[in-house]
Amino acid sequence: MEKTAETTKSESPYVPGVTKRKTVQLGHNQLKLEKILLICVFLIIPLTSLILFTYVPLFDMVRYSMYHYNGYADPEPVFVANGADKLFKDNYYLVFKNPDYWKPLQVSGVYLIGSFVQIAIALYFATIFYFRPKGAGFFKAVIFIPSLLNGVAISLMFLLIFKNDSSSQGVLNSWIIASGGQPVSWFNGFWRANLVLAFISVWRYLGNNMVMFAGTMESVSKDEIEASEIDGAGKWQQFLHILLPDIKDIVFLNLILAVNGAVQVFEIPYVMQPSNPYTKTFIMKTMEIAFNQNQIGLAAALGIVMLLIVSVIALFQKAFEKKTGAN
Amino acid sequence: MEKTAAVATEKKPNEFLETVKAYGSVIWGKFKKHWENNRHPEEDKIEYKKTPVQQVLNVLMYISLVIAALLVILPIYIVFVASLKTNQEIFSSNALLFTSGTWSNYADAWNFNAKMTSNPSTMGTAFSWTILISVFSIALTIMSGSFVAYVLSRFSFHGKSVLKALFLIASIVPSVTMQVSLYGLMAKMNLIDKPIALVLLYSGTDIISIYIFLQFMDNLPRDLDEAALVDGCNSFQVFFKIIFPLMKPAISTVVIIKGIGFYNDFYIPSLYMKNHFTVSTYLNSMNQSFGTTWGVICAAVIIAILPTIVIFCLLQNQIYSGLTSGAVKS
Repeated sequence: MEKTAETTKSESPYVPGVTKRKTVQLGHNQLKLEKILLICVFLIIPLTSLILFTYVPLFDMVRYSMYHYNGYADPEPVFVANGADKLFKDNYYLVFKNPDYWKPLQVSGVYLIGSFVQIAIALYFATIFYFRPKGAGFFKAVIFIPSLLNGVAISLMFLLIFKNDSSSQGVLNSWIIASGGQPVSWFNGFWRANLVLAFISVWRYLGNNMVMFAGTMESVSKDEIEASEIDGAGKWQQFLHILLPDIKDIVFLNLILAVNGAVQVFEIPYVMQPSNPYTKTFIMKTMEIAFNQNQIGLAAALGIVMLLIVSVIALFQKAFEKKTGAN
Repeated sequence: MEKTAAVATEKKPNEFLETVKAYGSVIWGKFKKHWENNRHPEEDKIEYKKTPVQQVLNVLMYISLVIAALLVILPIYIVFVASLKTNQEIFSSNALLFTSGTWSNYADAWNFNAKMTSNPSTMGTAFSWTILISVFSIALTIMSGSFVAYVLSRFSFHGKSVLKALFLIASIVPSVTMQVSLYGLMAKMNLIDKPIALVLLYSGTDIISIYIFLQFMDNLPRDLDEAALVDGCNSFQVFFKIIFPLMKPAISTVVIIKGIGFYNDFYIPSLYMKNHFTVSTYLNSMNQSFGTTWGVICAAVIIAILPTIVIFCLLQNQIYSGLTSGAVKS
């Protein structure tokens, strides 16, 4: 008995439709019925919500994106009735023709630069913590804490610091004035405004990356490091030749996923600068078109563009994981 | 809260500062002890003698650590200082120095909406909604996540690969843009402005917890199932009596990751629950209301981030490892 179980286990994956492992023990039909019952009972809720909250809206979004659909109160566009002549012509054409709609992707570019800087700094601190200097636990905790904090709270925190009203200057400007300078309007101009927001984003997420890298570095053998230390290798050499090769996969993965993060920025600019034209992100624009201007068809087209970007990234990610043999 | 405010305002400025300092040193002592207890044994390893160059690099390394720590602490500290000031003091005095100090901002922040608008919710109500919604969402997430993981990890059936692909594709789809069509769907189901909508969306679109459970379950030896089956358990009993109780580490990871995520989420409640506030939307409403003083906003910010910081200090190691395991697939 024991042996049968053992062999079926070592015979890798479960071949679909084959249940020989259990037929040994009990009546075949009884087990099969029980199995079907369990699968149905266990999957009914998750599968219903998966279809309802992911696939139905996905299908709807594709459908909406092809038609003029102005407001949820309007009758819904139907695939056949409206005819295919509008297909792609209006919404998608507009998305690519009107810079108003794709310009927000330039904002994502600034955040992308921010995330590359963030990954570099995270790598630096993760390496430092690998060597466990005195107080490592404290510094690691402090640098990590922002990634747990409420995003709206963070936005308000930095609004107080970067504020620039004629009546009341924020902390940074009042320091600049006190030292004899002119107050800076931090959210004026494309580069300045978005660099400030990208800085806040780095402030928030740096610790997250750092802990992830540090966690991966933990698996690097300490013996190897100690051996190299006796051989006289410096920290930089140890990083380059021992640590980096072991974590380069996760670093690269994070660089790929940074694109996803950059195109999906929403919370901080929305709370801090809800109506600033310079800092409008792609999501903010999409939401504005959908919920303020009621152009749902157009917003859905923008959503599909976003979906395409993210899908390309996902394909890259999968290809990369396959290549490196990561799960 | 009211009580503290009353006591604090009666005291003279100096005494107030002394109290803050005294409490501060007690709390600091506790944290320090905590961090020392959590030190890695490797930290005490023998130090090799350092060359002068290495010593300089060491100093530079510490300088960079201190700068990073200051950059993190400074904004939080400034907001804390501002939360104890009147609006006029915030914009006229040094942002780093305490003034006479008043806790009344905290009372105002707690009761903000009751005072400023007709909406009777206090920050207490916002916390209650947030906790209630998070608890139900987490319970549902754990339930459906572990169910799916059990089926995928222990059974073979027709269409299993299709099912896996469905979940995989769903993990790619960006939920932020999906709201364009999801909102229409929720409106059709008459779920807008109902707290249950948040519970359904949080638990219904979560894929990460399935991966966490699946990873964990694949590492549980199948011999356990076999033994239980031989002993006469049916597959349901195997799950509820054997597998589920063994999944505590994975469950606590999901509770931590999801709990923090739901507590901090702003996007979903701002779209689907405009009639009640969660902590995030409460904070945002303060910023948008005309004439809110910054002292009150800062007090609310401190109230909102305090629970997270306390939980982090208590569960530091679980949070670090939970983050690393949750990050494998995300």
